[in-house]
Amino acid sequence: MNGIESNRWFIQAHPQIWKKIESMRLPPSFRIHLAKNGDPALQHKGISLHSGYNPGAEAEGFAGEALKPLPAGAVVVVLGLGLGYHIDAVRARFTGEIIVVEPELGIVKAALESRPQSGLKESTLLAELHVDEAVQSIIDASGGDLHKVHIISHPPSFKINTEYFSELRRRIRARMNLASGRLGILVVTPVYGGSLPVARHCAAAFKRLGHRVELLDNEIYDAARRQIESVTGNRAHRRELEAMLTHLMAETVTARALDRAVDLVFAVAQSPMSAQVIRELKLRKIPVAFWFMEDWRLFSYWREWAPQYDYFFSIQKGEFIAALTRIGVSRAHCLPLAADPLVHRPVKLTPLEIKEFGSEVSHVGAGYRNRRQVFSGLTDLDFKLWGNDWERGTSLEKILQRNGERLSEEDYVKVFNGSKINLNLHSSAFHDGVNPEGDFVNPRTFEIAASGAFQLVDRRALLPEYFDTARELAVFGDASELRGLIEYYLKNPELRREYAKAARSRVLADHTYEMRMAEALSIIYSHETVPASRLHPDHIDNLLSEADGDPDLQELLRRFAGRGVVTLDEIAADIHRRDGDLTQAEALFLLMYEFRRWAKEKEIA
Amino acid sequence: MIHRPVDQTPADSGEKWVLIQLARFGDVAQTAAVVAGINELAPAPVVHLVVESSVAPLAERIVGVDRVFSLPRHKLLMELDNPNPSWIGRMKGLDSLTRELQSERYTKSVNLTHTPESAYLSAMIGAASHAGLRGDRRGAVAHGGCERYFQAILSRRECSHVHLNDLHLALAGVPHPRSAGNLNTDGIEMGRLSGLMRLKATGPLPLLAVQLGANERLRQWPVENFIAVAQSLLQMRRVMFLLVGSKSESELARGFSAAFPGNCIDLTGETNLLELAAALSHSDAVIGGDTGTVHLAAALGIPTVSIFLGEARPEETASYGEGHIAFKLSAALPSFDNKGGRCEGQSDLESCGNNTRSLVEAVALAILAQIDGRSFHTAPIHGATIYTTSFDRDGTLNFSDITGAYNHARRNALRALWKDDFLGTPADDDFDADLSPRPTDEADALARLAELAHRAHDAMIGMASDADAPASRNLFGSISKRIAEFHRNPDAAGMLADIYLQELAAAARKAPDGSFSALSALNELQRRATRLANRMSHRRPDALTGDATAVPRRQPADGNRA
Repeated sequence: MNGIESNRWFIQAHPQIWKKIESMRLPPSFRIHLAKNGDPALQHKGISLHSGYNPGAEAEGFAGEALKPLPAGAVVVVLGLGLGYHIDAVRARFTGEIIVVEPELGIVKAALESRPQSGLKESTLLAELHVDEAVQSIIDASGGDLHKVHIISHPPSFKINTEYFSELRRRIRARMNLASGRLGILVVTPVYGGSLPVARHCAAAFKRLGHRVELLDNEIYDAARRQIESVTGNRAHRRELEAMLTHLMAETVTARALDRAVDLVFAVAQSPMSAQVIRELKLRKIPVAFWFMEDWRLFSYWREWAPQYDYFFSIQKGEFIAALTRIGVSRAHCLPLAADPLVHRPVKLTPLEIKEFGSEVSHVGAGYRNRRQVFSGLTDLDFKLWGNDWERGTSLEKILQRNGERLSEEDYVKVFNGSKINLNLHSSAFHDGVNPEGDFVNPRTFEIAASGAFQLVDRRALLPEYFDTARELAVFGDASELRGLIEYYLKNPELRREYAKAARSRVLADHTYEMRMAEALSIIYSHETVPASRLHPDHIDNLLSEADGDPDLQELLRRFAGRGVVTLDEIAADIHRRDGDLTQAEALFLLMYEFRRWAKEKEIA
Repeated sequence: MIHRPVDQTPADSGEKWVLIQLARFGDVAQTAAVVAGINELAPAPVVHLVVESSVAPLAERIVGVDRVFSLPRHKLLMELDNPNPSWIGRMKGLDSLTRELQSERYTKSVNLTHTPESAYLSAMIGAASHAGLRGDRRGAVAHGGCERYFQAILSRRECSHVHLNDLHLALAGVPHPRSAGNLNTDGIEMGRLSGLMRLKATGPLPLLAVQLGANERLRQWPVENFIAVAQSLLQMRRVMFLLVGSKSESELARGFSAAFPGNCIDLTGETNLLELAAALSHSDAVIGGDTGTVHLAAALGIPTVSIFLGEARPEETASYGEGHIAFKLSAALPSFDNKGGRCEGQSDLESCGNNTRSLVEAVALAILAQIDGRSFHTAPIHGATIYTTSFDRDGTLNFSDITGAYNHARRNALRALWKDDFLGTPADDDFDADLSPRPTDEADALARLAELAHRAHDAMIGMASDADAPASRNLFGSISKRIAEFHRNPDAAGMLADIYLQELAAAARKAPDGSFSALSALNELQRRATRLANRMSHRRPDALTGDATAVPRRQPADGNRA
């Protein structure tokens, strides 16, 4: 039973792990017993990890079946260590790199104490790593080429840690599918409203992740929308006109998606989409993702729309995800809001700006019922109220800035930076004060934090998942305690600075739009095996295959490896940027480019 | 894709040239003159021509062209726009054409189309030497002063006093031909035109081909004006009108025909290019705007009367040949339909003003002169400049304003400068010493430029290789500033100065240490600025003003006319 003597190599090979498990006592869920053939076997959480008769023979059978002939340079990833029988069997059959992933240190300890781990000794062990770290280690081991990776799941181990191993598999699969190059992503913005800047941040984030982004910015239709509002008082007529405008905008989504050969259409709440457009895109194998950043309890249109999208992201979880599952939406995931550190950042205000944007207390947001109710009791403070839809003729009017106009992002970041305390009260049209059922976290929370500013935010169910509410965010649970907290924090500037600094660090580490969009893609591309544009004739991989046998052309095209669909404009721009004589292939591309341009100028094509 | 005329025997000079002419059929017709120039080289090179496929049959008729490559532009565009094959698949058509052209191993390519696409085609052909725009990584690049001059005038058309064909001949580096070039219309299947042939054979009436439409609406003379001209003409002589043009011009033709029942043969929309050429070759004269039809007629040796409107300038694109007549009308000149109504009767004609009536009568008289082969005279008409064409002694096309309204002295000075720079013709051949010196502001400015260049030149010699020294930079700065002033000045002097600046910059690029090349360029700048200043400061009575028809008309080599 005490196999640790035969595994002393482990202490040198994995000193950190050893340190953790050396004095660990295995909990009662672990039961090591002898199989019929006398070899040790393990039961954990009621699941037998090995045969009760002959674990070694079982492992041989497992390895024989799981290990198909593999190409040179392959990396075998075994999910689950168990007592290591199957690792020995795999090692005996495969001489290349083996990575063993085991999330539970108890199992590692049990394996080391039970029997000599010769197979593990010649493998890489990833123990108790976060899924992301494990995925990264596997990517590193494969030299960045995940197509070399061959994953073998040890079924009982998988059963014990299903969530962990499923997530790991999903992420590796997503990275594999995404490894074929940058994606073409069409981001569809709403015409106006709070989700409009979020859509733009998403587009910027996709771009920073290296993807080809097409932004269909529908704000240009805002004037038309307002015109419709003013053109007739007849509500039915107005609705009809609005529907026509929405239809027009939705059709531009298909037109642009097809014209730019995109792989994915990403829409957010209020983006103008139509069922017909979604169907059309699906027919073209272009998945459509939707980020629903509204309160599902207040806005019920998700019932109609969620089933139509391929991927549905929400800012809420739990009950909402369950409700979505009930109506058949299987690919629904929680994707919290975030901040864009290039926009939401600490800024130094000029004296004039301090005069305009600075105050002891501020709030940026629309005039919802609960805010009106809470803030009307704070008007004796140096309190500036920014935003639209605030009722006139109330006590709040005197603290309302810029006559209640909607602020630009640039300006509200100045407000964040110019305020000692940013009051962040999540909106509610049905409650006084703090909404006791409030769960999701609004974008302001992330934006104020990313701006390096201090905020007092109301308690939300999901807040502790994203921030340390003791160290990173100052939280109030009831409107009645707000005044006291304001006075307290106004008197403690150092404490405010500490909170603000910690909150900003947390956003930069965990809550940027880049991270959110990477997460969304990871989810999408664990299902989508091949990006739609991979099938496009102008996808660089297809072009390279087609150019096989023409070294001149291949050399030119190799410059675009990993770039997905390559446009003639991009090729021409690249050729113009370089030096030296034109090659035959380059001259031909430029001839074709000019030929097209000529036709466009003459309006022939 | 490849067209081979059967009746041409390539010369045996070892030289093989390819001309790129991707413009419209009027330009292709005019290319006949360049081909004629090349054919007069001894020994004459083999000449191939690349044209758009729609005009290939016409190009095959240019005497002296050994082979025509046609570029199926519309088909290629359809291929390029087809999203199904990849870029590689879509460019196969172009690839195949360029490879075939490469396999010809040309000794020289001459790009007569001043567009980026033709520049890259020129680059791909890879001839041993080349003239005209050529593509490289920077884009379409003008190589040589001749092409740079051409590029410069594109934005200052009013500066150019040289016909497009003469620019092209200079660009190709060939002497001006003894003939204006020719198109061979022998053996064209007349088909539907046989009736016209019979009419011509039996009828006593002269045949006037009329092109009513134009490519751009701004360049289209109202059909009412044509009708008024025809009415005026018929008062002097009975003629038969042959209405030519595309189907889109049929409506104009119907309007015209309705005014002259029994006097019109309407061929609009009925002819392809070859049939049009055949029909024109049976005409006694042609009237139209600055159109392909008129250029085609000129290339066939038919006397023409053309109406230039908008930005079109006879100096650049008049019919190439001896004795053609062009009316350049200013935008302000009233036409018969710009009063808001149609002018069909005498009273309406009266309402359009005596000036317009004079114009109509002058155009009718010009047509009559062309039909009869007589000289044409008219009194000045406000808003109209009336030119006749003639060839200078060096073979370049010149223009005489028969009403004397034009500033010939200035035009001739600029033409002489151009010839000096690009043809190597001693300037005094065409430009005699001044008889009455009269300095101008422009000449003063040029003199200052010359002085600056002179000082920069001396300073650079003094500084040897230290061209980056502040003093030198200041002088260069002054020169650049001066040239920039010219650049804003819409005149030929500014344009030439611009070209010199480019040469100076090119020279400086070649010699990063700013030594010898920049010195030479400065020297040259000073020399040219001085000469330009001298010329601009002098005027003389215009020796060329007069009756251009007194000069014998140069006929096409093969004399197609009946």
